[in-house]
Amino acid sequence: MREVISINVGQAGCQIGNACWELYSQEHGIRPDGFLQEGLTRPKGGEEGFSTFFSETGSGKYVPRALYVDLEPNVIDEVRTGIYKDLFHPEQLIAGKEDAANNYARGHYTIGREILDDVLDRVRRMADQCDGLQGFLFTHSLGGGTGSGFGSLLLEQLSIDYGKKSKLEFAVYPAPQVSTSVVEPYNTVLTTHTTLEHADCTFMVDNEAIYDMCRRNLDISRPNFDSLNSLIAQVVSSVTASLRFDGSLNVDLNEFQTNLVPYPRIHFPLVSYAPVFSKARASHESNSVAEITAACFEPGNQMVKCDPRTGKYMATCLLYRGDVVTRDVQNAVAQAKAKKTVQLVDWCPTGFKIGICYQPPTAIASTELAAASRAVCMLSNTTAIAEAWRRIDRKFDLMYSKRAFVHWYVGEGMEEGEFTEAREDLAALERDYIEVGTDSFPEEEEEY
Amino acid sequence: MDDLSVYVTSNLTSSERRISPQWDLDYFKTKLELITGIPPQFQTIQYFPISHSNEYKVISDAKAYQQDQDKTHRLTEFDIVSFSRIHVVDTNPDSELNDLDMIDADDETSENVAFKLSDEDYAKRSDSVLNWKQQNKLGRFDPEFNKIKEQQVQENEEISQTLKVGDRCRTINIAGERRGVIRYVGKINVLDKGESVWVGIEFDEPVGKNNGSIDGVKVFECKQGHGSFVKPKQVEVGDFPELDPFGSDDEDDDEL
Repeated sequence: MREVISINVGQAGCQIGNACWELYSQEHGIRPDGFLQEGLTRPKGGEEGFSTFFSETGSGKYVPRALYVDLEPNVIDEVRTGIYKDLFHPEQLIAGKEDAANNYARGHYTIGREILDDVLDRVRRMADQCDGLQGFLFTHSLGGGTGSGFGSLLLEQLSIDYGKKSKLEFAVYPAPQVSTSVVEPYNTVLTTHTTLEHADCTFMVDNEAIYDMCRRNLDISRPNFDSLNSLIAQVVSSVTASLRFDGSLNVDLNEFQTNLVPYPRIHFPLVSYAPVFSKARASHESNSVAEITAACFEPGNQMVKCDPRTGKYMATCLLYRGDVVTRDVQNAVAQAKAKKTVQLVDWCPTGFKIGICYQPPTAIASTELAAASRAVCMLSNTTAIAEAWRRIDRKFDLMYSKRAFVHWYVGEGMEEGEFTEAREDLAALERDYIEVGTDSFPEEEEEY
Repeated sequence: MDDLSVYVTSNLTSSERRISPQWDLDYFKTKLELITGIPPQFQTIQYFPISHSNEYKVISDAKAYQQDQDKTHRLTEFDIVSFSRIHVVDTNPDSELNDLDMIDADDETSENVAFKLSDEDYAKRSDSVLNWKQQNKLGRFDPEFNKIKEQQVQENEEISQTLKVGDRCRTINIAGERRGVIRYVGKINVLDKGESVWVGIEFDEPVGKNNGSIDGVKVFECKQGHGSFVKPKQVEVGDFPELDPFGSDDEDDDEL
């Protein structure tokens, strides 16, 4: 068995967790109370895959291998009282009393420390129930206090306690235009610095990109967190589908890293997903393999706003699910490679890796996303994503040059030197991406 | 009473937040400070029952700020509904937030305050991509890589020697065939630090990218949109007269 433990940290992390577990449960035929749906004798998707994400109790009930952590009680209380209250064991839901107040230092040093031992203890108990734990899947935001501060503290600790086990993250990245809080750039830079050497692969989602997708493709005029999170859940589900369903190609958490990450620091693949259509539009779309593959190269299907045409690709994984035949995929990939806008790094081997899971995506009845017989999630390690770092670094510099709000952090016992140390690390990361993009053979078709 | 989801906005921030109607106004203001950066005494709070409408009422005015008073008011008094908007105005004219608006910050300011990592400091880092490439002889640190690159440059140079200014020529790419006259053959410093040879072409039709200048440096002169710079390999010289835009698409017909 190759179990994966999901850890959801902070408000955004927990709410995305809710959306994911709702979707996983439906995909595997599990009712909100943890028992099988009417008419099923075994969970859908095969034992091996299913048991990576769920454990079975003696009584025929299934429990997610998941942990929820938040420093304040409200979001977790909602899980405790919501329709999925019986799905989780109370021990899996950990809430503190006082929030991190959008402050990395509170999540990482003061308030977060108080809860750390308790959380590590629960992680250990969950890990003990696994035969062959393959790793952890984190969801958190980078801009708040708990997700960024406590999330990075926990990742550091897991590195110490679980050494080489894979650690993948889904991270909500600050949107390019408007900040969610005035200190968001600080939190993001600090947490990225701390986790850079601990996370193996980080999939970023920026709320603005998702928001636009909800408006444009799903016809939701004013999307809220629920709309955003249910779309994010579809993406997370696509990435994890090959782990959860038997008979899939490409079935190991390690493989994402092996295929996508040429060098440990360059571990932020850009995620794209297709099709995203509202129920009203779905009947007008054919969603052929060629179409959904091509759509993944459209900026409108990306989870982070950046322009891949300006960058170079190091590696690409295309994860298909549903009614897909290999020949169509091969043709679609050949077409994609022939695109002028897809430029590969010349000095290291680059490849298109294909994953196919024959289980189609599941549409949640209460959401706008239409059901589709097939979908694809593209993970591409492109230097274009460095745009996201440049944006946040510039915001950080503007604030830090005035030492604005630095006292909020110093007041929690953080040393000011950590700001410069973190910022330097991020500057080096920007340089790393530039270094990846340089050293190309002269482009013969260039024109100026 | 259950928590509510509301949008909290200020000049610099916008986010969906959860609030509890049980909170008193003083506590709420401390929360808003952590989000918006505006201290309670400077907060004027506007309540927009419909988040996307312009109608609002003022819940609390900074001019009448009294912390003791705020403690006696609970949010329930204001009948805040789900997915409404709470906008916080900063009434402090000397607020440090005034200087933090990214959109207002011009490029010069951004450039001045930008953290700069020197080449030396970057080169010192042991965990950098640069170091990895050096250690493993990748890219320009790979002798083979450089050999191929030199070959390509040389090939281009050889072709360029067959091209003369004034020659009629054509280039063909995915978009089709374009014809014109060679106006320049040589290196262009502003383009790629003089790395390779470029051919400046004045096209017969406005199918180029510029007017013969690149980054403000004039290399040759032609009408805007008629000029382009391409690699020698892309250029074919010969008897390529101007195409008649009103003629038939099929060249064979012309010859009949």
